[in-house]
Amino acid sequence: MTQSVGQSVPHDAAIGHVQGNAYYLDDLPKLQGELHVGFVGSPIASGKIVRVDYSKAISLTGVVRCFTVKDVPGHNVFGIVVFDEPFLASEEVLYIGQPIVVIAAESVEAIEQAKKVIEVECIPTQPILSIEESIQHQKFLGPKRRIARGDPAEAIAAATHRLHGLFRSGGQEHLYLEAQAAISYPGEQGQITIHSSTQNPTEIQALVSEMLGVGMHEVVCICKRMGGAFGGKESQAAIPAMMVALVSFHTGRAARVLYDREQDMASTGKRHEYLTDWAVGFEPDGRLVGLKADLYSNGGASTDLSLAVMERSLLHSDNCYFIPNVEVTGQVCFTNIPSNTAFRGFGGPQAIAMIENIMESVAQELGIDALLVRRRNLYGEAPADVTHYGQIFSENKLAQVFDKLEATSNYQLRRDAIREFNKTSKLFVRGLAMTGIKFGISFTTKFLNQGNALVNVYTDGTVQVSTGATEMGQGVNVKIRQVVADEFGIPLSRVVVMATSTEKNNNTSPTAASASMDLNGAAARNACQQIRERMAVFASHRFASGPEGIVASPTHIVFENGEVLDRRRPQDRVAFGPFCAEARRERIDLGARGFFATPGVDFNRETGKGSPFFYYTQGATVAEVEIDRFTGQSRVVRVDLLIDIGDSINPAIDRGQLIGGFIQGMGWVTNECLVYDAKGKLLSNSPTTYKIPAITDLPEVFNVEFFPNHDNQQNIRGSKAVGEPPLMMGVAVWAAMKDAMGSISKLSSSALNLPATGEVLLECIGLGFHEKVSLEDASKTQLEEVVT
Amino acid sequence: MKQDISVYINGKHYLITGADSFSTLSDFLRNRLRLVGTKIMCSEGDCGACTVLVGRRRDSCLGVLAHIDTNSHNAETSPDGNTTGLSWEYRSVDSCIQFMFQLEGAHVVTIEGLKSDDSFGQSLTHIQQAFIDHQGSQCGYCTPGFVMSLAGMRESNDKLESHEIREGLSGNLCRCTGYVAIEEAASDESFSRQKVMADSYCHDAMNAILDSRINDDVLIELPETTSENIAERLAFMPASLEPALTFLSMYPQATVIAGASDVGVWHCKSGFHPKIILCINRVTELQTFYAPNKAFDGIERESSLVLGASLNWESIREACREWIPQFDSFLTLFGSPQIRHVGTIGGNIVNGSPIADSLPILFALDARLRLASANGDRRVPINEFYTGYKKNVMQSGELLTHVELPIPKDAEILKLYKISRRRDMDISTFTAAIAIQLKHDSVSGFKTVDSVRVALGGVGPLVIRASKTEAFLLGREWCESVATEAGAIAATEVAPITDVRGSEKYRRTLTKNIFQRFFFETSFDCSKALQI
Repeated sequence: MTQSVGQSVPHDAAIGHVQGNAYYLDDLPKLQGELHVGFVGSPIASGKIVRVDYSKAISLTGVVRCFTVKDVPGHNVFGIVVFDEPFLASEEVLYIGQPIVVIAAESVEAIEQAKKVIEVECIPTQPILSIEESIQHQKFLGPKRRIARGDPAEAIAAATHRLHGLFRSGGQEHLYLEAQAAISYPGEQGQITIHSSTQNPTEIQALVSEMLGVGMHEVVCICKRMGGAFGGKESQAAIPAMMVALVSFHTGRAARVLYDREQDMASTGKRHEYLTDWAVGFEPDGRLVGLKADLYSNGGASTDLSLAVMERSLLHSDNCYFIPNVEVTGQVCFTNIPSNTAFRGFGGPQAIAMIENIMESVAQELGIDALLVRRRNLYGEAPADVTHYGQIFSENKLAQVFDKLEATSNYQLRRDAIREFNKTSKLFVRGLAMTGIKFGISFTTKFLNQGNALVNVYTDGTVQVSTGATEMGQGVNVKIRQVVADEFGIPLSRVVVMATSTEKNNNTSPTAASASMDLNGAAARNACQQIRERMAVFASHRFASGPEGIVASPTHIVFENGEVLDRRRPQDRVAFGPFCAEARRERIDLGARGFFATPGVDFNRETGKGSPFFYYTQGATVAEVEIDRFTGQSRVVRVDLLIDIGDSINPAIDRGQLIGGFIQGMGWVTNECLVYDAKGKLLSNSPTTYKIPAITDLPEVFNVEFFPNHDNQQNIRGSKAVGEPPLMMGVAVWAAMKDAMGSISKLSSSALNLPATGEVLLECIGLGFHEKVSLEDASKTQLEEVVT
Repeated sequence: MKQDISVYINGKHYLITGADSFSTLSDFLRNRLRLVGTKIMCSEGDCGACTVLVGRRRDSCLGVLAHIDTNSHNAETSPDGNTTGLSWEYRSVDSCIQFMFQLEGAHVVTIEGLKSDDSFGQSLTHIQQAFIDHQGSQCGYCTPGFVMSLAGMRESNDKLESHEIREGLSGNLCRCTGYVAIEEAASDESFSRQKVMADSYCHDAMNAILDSRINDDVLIELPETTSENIAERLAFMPASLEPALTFLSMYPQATVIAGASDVGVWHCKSGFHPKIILCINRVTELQTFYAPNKAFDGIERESSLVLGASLNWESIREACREWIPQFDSFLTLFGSPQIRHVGTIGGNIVNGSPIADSLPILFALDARLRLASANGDRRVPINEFYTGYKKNVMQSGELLTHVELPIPKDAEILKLYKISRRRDMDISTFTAAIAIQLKHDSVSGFKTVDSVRVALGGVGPLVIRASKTEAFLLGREWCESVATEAGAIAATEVAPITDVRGSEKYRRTLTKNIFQRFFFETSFDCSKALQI
């Protein structure tokens, strides 16, 4: 039997997915008496609540009760790092849509009726709606963070060339397909079970217990699966879970909430918008000698994960480049919009876009290909292998990855062809770019780098495994199954991964930072090894034979092909199922709890120094785009992806992560555009007005490859994390847009921010001097082509 | 007159009455039948998670093109030798914005209703198996919708080319996979072995039940006594035009619904639940298509297509393919397949949004609208139809029945433009239709503008004809500077606003630029692709 690890087995729930019977929260049958839950949010972005009146609502047929902050039995204010986020607004409102009144009703229709008659009166105050306003009022969340090396000011001043500018990257809506949802089932004596669409069951458990004023041991949180999350359910699944918990607490009835799409988009956080004030100094060959960058993120109304997101930005502002003198600072801005939050990449994309913008700008300034600039700055041998925060970048594959991709993508030939095309095409302009990624794997908050697992082996030789990892489509369940199956040498079908529950795995970390397989897979493996050790001791006695001179020796026991045997007497073997039954009869413990803590990672955020990452996932992308000179509409002509993810546990799953992440990144840099009105109301609040990539937006030519690499043996089965890194490969598409703008004019190029929507591109084109090829020239070119 | 809705769901017959008739299809499936494989994401027909197949008989059904010869009403003989001459046609639709009252005579197939050859155990169809084999699902929430879209495409295809897959799945959003694996699943060679609906369900039994009512009008009345919270509601689904017009003269305030691709969204999003509904998707007369050279009402209309107002966009594409190919290809950008299977040309015109994709071409080609009421008919040029933002000249009791669309002359160059944030499945920021005819001046050797018609949308409360621009262009030499100047003039004729889809400035720039683009596009061979 071949090993499971390394095989492209289907997603754990693939059959359920295609049959429509893999249940999401709202697909669960309703209990008798179960209540529907909805809420009324703040009508304004900033102000004081003076009156809340729901008396008309509770007189409506079907409306059971309404709740406000007064009904919260425990704590109303929570937070992951800083306690500054109210569950229900009490006196002050901080953003439009902030929950104020929770409605419990017999039907969805009754909730709609109730919403119409609930009166909320507020006195508005002037909201802060932009990074600039926040800076102006010095209204920040948390302290300023800084990472520095050398003397960038002096280095920039002494450099042959200098550039500086402002760079903005926009926010991004997660647009997970299953909206925020939760169901609560009241238990006995005040206990409660919450089913939540969450990446972080432990946090839901903790927050619900704090809100209700009960112990954590009285709350269970279960997550079977999410219909997508992407970071949007790392912290922000909490409010809906608290809503249903509050309703169940007071009514003793099961309660269910499913946000509608507008509500979800309008009242939950997104990827942080960033504004960066940057300056670089560089030499004529493109080498950067100094970088200074002040990053400001739009944090929204509460801290949430913003400080950690900013920390990752500062740690990734180098991307693939060794810059001798660096000073990067980060400040999270308070604004009156829903608190921005985790989103695949977690601050990495904004920082990488920032530095890649600099790479393109430097190339423009020097009139050389940006690829040359990038290559001249790649991390290399010592001393150019130390990051600005002091971690040694070992196992650096960047140069090899760049070499390989430059060749396979035909970069140089296409570069020449595009230059020619842009000279002659009246309608279109093309751009080409190659960017890399070096994404650090581990939570930068040290204590989160742990995982535990529960493995139960049954007497028929089947196995249940439970970990803190939640399944949101990324395939962590099937990967864990593969690892566990191999540990016992049994087929994949004999292993099932159970719904994530705080009852089985306590104090778990969120499924985030791309590290859930690394942590939980390793913990599961650890549990299996414990069981196997006990089994091996038992088996060694079972297989020992006096006449043959074979003494009991656990080291000779092998678990393979669904059988257990002593290597010295392979003919006397027993199937795994009967073996487990025998072991139980001999009172061998067939269950274990495993644990894993990532070794050697730490980071001091006060000094900005440390080695926060276990390893780096690396890769590179070549993207080619075509832009309509008259409408600004663009299309992605060709993309080549190359990524080093070590020994893949499941290549098909990882390929899905790679492509899916890239396309999501492509959406962020092109057409995903958040639009608010002057009062802070989100206008792009549905898929009608917020456009994620459709199938027709796929690159016409799309080549995807893994870079062969076996050097990451410190990680589970030699694999590397793949969840977030591909998103940042999408930055190549934006860089190609910038390259295209550069062929129109320097001004067009320097004016380009992110996202590059059709409107933005057309405006940039308008800034430039059309490199007009006269009619005669164009016809002449055509003629020449015919002649040659 | 029938007082219930006769519909099949996954091969099972239902007679729908009462409040259920006004429910959306997806709510009915999920809440009444607990068929929860149909997922809800956007509730506005934008994501396709709720895609199901709706099968209807040709001739009687919404959006199925009925090629009716003017002289004889003989329906074609269907392949299965059905004596009624009606055959089944299954199309994907977004069930979140379909109402139950629209489904008289239909067979709805959901993800739970897909059948494989294997009737035991975990029976997976080939499309489903291909999704598993190619890792086409990640979180899985969009998957049933994709599978159903593909099942719909299977009805008329044995094999899908890459562009067909992309076009056919443009109404299904996936946030996880990046679509490549889905595309691979759709290209799997097993696709041709997927059973079509004709082989999955026994239609004879359905025919027997449904045919008996095919010419019956259906009226659903919801008495006000049922509940305090539900007011009196009325939905009338006539089979022919005359009762429709009679109903409309009795209830001129009725909301007229054909495909519900707008009203369904209002129902889900803005709490719009009309009390009196005239549903015209069964009215045979409104689904007719007359090709040029066919007599229509005794009048020769050699150069016009006559399109029934309830023809859906997929049928309009078919109808226009031969005569106005630009419109056919332009319409691939209209909504999504699911929307094109229900949305009608009449709905687009009467709703009258200034960003309605179909309007600029109708304006540029000087389409005429035929309005009927119990008191008689009249024709109105579309250029005189609108009186203000979403306001028109229709009078109480009038119904739009047909659109007469003059086909462009051979020498006329017609280009249609739609600018939106995302190319497919997006609402326009700006639309334009430019039709121009050039004359070669043998003396000067120049080309001059012999005739020109320009219509612009998304640039004000109404779609407009750019009359000043047209006047400027007429007779001029057709060259870059003239095109540029025309754009500048057009920019003064428009009154765009800033909204979520684009700024006033952007729309004005597009207005200005589109003439240059048109010029270059029509003066050079720009199809030359750059390939390495």
